[in-house]
Amino acid sequence: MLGVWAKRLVSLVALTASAAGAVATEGGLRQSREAAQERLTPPAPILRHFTFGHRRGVSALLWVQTLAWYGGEAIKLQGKQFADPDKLRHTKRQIDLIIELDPQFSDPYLFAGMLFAYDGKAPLLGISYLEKGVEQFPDNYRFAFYAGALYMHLLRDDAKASDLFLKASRLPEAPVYLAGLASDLKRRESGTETALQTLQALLRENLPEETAVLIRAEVTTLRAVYETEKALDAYKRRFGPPASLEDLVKTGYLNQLPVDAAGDPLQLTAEGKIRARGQARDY
Amino acid sequence: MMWPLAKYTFLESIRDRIYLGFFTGLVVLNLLFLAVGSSPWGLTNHIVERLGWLAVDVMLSLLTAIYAVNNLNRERERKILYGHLTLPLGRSRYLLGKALGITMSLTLLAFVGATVIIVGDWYLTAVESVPFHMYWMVPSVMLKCMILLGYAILLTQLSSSALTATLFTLGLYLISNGAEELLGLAANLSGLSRTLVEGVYYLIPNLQLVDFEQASLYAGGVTPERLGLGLGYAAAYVTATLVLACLVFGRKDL
Repeated sequence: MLGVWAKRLVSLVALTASAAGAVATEGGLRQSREAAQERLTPPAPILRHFTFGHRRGVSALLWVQTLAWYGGEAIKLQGKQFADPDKLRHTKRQIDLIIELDPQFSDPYLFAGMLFAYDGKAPLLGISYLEKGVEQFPDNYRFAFYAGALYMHLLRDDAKASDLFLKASRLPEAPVYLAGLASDLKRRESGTETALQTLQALLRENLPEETAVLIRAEVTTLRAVYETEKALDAYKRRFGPPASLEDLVKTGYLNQLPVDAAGDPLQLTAEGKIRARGQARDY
Repeated sequence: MMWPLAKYTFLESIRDRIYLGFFTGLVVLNLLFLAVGSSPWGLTNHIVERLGWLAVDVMLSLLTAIYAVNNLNRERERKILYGHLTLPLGRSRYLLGKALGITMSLTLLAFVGATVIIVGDWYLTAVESVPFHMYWMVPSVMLKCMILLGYAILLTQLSSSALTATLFTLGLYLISNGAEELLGLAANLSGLSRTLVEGVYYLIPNLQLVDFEQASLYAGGVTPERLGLGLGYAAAYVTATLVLACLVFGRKDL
């Protein structure tokens, strides 16, 4: 009799344990599924050695997965910044793996550059991806251009931005305004003479005609600005600040009113700086 | 007599359920990748081309392993083989005819797969010109498949069951397609395990030697040297495996 009850008890305990186990497993599975969906952690160490010869295809699949995940997260954030450190860390792992599997795939470098710089508020990390892109794709101007833009906008480092814009301006399909932008920054950072020398050196290179035309015009303007600045300095030493550039002509420091490459007169700003009409900033 | 058998095998293949299943699967998969590639997520033709190449490569290799073994084994099980062997056709020629017929049917599928990707890529993802370079996937995948086919035929003769031969061929595909990764793995190991992994690397065919994806997609085309190396390597392996298979089949008690 006792044996029967013992069997029933054991059966009941086993049944309860099984049910509890099933519930726990289901809960665990659901949690782990959510965690997996949240993180989408790829088994990186395994993937590195076991793509079975399909590195580029696996890289493309991971890229689609990353974009789909990022898109979903971006929708959830409704326009707010994608700044969760865990999510950024996960994205970095994914991007690193994609690049490692297929280093000649250009999109991840640009994506990581912009994502980490703006959303992650880590401009240097973003720039490091763009610089890797510069090394990997020496004929593609975009990487140097975007790296320069990040230096200019986020790090306020005009010298580096100018160098990168100049580098980009030499490459095929680069927008023609890049050399002018580089010259503007160079002038703000190191003065008109350095900007002029940089552009003159650039003109000696084999540039696309469209870019060369623009740089020649910029050189003409910068030369006029440079000559005017020298005359202005000499005038100031003797008479103090002038009321207008006409004072420099009247006193013989300039032969005529200076003009830029388009024939528009240069202007003297209230701060005593020379400004060409086409330039975005006063100096 | 070898050519009629090859033609018969080709016509039989393209009506086969396994072949048609892979055919449909490949076309659907490629259309799916085209849909992904032309979606408004900003994906490029890069994705379409690489995923398309991946699909053709994997599907054709799987089909080779599964269909070749199945075809040869089925003829033996259904006694069709005896009918063929009553013809003035040696056993070696029978195997070579089957190999040729299966290769023809695989080539057709590779062409269709490549064409779906090329036309779709050109039409949907706004590439400037028709990406004809993607046709390099046909010789690349076919050389791989021919090496696998040689092994599949040899393993069919060596093993008693179709399942074993299929599994071995599939295993061989997985390992030999990632042969370079095997070498990379060996570099991270030491002692006996390293020697073993290196040993496996030298034993198996290196299918990456006949893989033209990198050269075709990034290096501006496949050089004659690269093509010559791939063709020579594949020819050597296919010849060796088929000769061995013919020797085994010639002595086999049917």
